[in-house]
Amino acid sequence: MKRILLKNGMSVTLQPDRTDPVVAVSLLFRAGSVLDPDGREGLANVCADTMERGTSALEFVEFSRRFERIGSNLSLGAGSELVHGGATFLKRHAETGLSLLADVLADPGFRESDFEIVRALARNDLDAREDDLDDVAEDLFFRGVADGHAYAKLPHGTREGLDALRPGDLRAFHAGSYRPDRAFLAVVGDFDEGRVLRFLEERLGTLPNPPGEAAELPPLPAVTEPRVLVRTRPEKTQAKIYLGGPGLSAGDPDRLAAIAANHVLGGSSIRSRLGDEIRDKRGLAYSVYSRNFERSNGGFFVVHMGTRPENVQGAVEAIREELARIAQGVTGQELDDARAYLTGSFPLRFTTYGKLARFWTRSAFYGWPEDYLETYVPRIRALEAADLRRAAERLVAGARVLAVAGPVGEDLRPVGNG
Amino acid sequence: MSAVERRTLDNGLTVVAERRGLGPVVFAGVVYRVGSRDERPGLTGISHLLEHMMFKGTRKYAKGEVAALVERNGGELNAFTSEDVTMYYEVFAADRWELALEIESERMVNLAVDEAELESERQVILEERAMYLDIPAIELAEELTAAAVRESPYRWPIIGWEADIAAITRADVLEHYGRYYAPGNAALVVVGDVEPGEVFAAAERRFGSIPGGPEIERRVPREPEWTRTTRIELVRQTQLPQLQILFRAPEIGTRDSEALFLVANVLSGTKTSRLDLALVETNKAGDLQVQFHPKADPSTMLVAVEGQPGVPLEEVEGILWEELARLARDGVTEEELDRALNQVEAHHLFALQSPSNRGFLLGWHEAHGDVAYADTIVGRLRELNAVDVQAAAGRWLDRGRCGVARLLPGAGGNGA
Repeated sequence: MKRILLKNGMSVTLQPDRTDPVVAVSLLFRAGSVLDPDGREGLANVCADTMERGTSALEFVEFSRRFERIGSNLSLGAGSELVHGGATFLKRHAETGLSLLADVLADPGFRESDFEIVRALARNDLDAREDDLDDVAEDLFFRGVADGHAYAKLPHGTREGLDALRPGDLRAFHAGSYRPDRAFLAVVGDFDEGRVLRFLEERLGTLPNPPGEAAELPPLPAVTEPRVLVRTRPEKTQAKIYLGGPGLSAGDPDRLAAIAANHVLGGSSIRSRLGDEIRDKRGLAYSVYSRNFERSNGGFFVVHMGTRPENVQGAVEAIREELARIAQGVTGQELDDARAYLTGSFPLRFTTYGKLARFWTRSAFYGWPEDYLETYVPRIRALEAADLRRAAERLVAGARVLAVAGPVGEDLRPVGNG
Repeated sequence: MSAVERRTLDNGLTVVAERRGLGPVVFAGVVYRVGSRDERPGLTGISHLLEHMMFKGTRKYAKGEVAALVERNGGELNAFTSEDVTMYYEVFAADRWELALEIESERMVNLAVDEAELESERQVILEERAMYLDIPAIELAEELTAAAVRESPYRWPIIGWEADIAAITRADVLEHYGRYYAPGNAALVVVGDVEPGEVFAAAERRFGSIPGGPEIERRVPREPEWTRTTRIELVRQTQLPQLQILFRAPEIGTRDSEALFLVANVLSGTKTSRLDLALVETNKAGDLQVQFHPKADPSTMLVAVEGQPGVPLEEVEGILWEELARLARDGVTEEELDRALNQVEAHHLFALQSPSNRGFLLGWHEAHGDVAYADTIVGRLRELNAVDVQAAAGRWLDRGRCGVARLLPGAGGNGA
C-alpha cells in the first residue's frame, strides 16, 4: 500500500494486487448533507446525483453508456458528511473508466434537465421513505438526537428544501465543497502503479481548490433530557423502534473498545445479549441490533427493532434493562468471545478490491493510522474488561431519545421517560 | 478459467470445491434441494420454519452453542430459504474452515426440535412476515403472484401463509427434516483459500458415515400455460402508487430462459435501459425493476414500477406496454445487446471476488443439477443474437396472458 498527496492536496492510496483482472476505485469528498445551506436541505444529494449524469461535453445517455459498454457504472452518492463515489472495472477497461471519472470530476455538466429529473426522483424518494416505517423512525431518531446540529441535516433533505433549489445552486455548491484538499481516492487491483500515479497527478492533481479553508463542524452536543418522538401510522402492522442518543466519533480513543462492547450488546448478527433476550427468549422481533453510527465529530448510538404495537412497551423496557446491564461491564467469557470474534473475522472484511478501496478512503478521511490493518488485531487483543465497561458506559450514557413509528398513539410517551 | 472441482461421496453427497480469493478466507455451505416448491397447501412456510429451527440446537450442540462456537472462531454463519433450495453456510479464516463441516454434518442428522423453541421461533417468523407486508411493493407482489399463478407452488410466498405458519407442528417439522435433510439430497460447497483435495478429504471424514437418506419422490405441479390476464387492485394508505406486471417464464437452463434473461437486462438494470429512459427519465416513475431468476420449474418474471403522485397508473401502464410491444416488434440493436452482454459478463467476473457470492452461485447451480452452468451461462448468452432476444420478448411478454396489479393510495388498510 502506498499513500501520497497530489499537488493540490488530494489523498491517494494505491494498492496493486494481481489476483484478479479487476480494478476498483473509491473516492470520497467532504461534500455531504451537513453542508446543505439552511432552507436548501437536500442540495448535497441532488448535486452528487446530478454530477454523475455527465460532463459539459457528454450528456446523460452518452456518458452513462460509455460506462455501461465497459460493463461498469459510476455512482456518486451523498451521505451525511461525505459524498462517496465508486466504480469497478475490468483490467482491460480500467484506463477508459478512470479517464471518464476524471472527466466528470474536472468538468461536470450540471444540465438543468438533469437537475429537474434528479430533483423529481429526490421528491419520489421522500414519498417512498414515508411508505417505509423504518425510514420514518430513523429520520425521527437522527433529527431528534442532533436537534439543531448540522448532523440533523439528512441526505434526502426536506420537501421545502428541494422545492427551493435552483439549478445554479449546484455549481455554487460544487465549487465550494468539492475540495481536492478534502478528497480521498483509492485504487486497488491489477494496475501499473507508475502509470496510474502519473495519470492521477495529471488529471486530478491539477483540479483547483476554492479559496479559504474548509469549515469544521462543532461537536455533536449531549442530550440532557429524555426525548420521545412518535409518528402514528395506524395502517401499518409493526411499530419500528429506534432508541439511543449521541455515540462515539470515528476518532474516539475508545473506538475499538466500543466496537467490542457493542458486539456483546447487539452488534453481532450471530449472538448478542439483545438478540438472546428480545428475539430468542421473548420472540418479540425478527431482528434487533445496536450500532454506533460514527461521524468525524460525534456519533449516533442506537438500538433498532420492529415489533407488534402491543409489544412496544415491553420491548422498550427490555432494551433499557440491557443498556443498564452492559454499562455494568461484560463477563470474562464475553470479553474473550468478543476479542476472538473481532480478531478472527478481520480478514473476512476484505474479500474484494471494492471493499479494500472503500476501507482506504474511509480510513484516510478519518485520519486512522496507516498501519491500521497491521495493528488492529493486537489492539483488539489488548482490550480489557475495564476498557469495554468504560466504552459501554459512554455509549449508553446519552441513550435518552426514543423514536417510534407505527400503529401506536401518543399514549406511548410515558414509556420514553422510564 | 474455472477451477471448480466436483466429486460425489458414496452416500450421494456431492462436494464442490474451488480455490480462489484474495485473502485467507473460506466459505463453506451445505445446500439442500428443498424449498417452498416442495410444500403443499396447509404447510406452506415449513421449509423456512425448519431453516430457523436449524439454529436452535442439535444432539451435540445445545441451543446457542453453534453461535458461540462460530463467534469464538471469528466466523459468520447464516442461512436462506428460497423456492427451490435451502442453504446453510459459514465463512471462516482459512486456518479453521473445517469447523464449518463439523457444524453442518451434525445439523444434517441430529437436529433437536424443542416445543418451546418452536413456539418462540414461530412468533419471530410472524414478526418477519409482518415486517415484509408493511412494505407496499412486497405485499403487492405477493398478492399478484397468488392471483396469477395457478398450479405451481411458486404461487405462495417462501415465508408461507400466516395461518399455515401458525399451524405447523413439531411432528411436521421433523417429518420435513427427515425427508429432505440427507446427503443424497444435498451438496457441500467450499470456496476460498483451500486446496480442493483437502476439501474432499475433510468431506469424507465429516459426512462420509452419514446414511444417504430416503428416495425422494417429487410430484411438483407444473404451471400450465396461462390463458388470460388476471388483474388485481389494492388500496392502501401509501404515498406512492405501484404497478406490477407478472409474466409466466421458462425454467432454468432453457434457451428461452437465457434469451428472456437478456430481455430483462435490456429493459432495466442500468441508468439507460429502455424502461428507465421511458419512465424514470420522463418523470413518470421512481424506482423500477425487472426481476427474473429462472427456477427449477416454469416460474415468473416481474416488472415492478413505483409510480409518481399525479401520474395516473393507466399512463404508466400504457408506456410499459408500448415499450414491451416495441421490443417484440422491432427487436434490439447490436449495440444494445452488446452493452447488456458486457454488463452481465463484468458482473459475473466482479462477483468471483467474494467467496460468499461465489459459494451461493455454485450452490444454487449444483442444486439445480449443473454446477458448470454458473460459468458457462456467460458464453451461452454470448451465442444468442438479436433475433433470439426479439423472439423471446414476443413469446413471453404477452399482454393477453399475464398478471397486472395496481396499488392505489387511498383510505384502505391492511386489515390491522
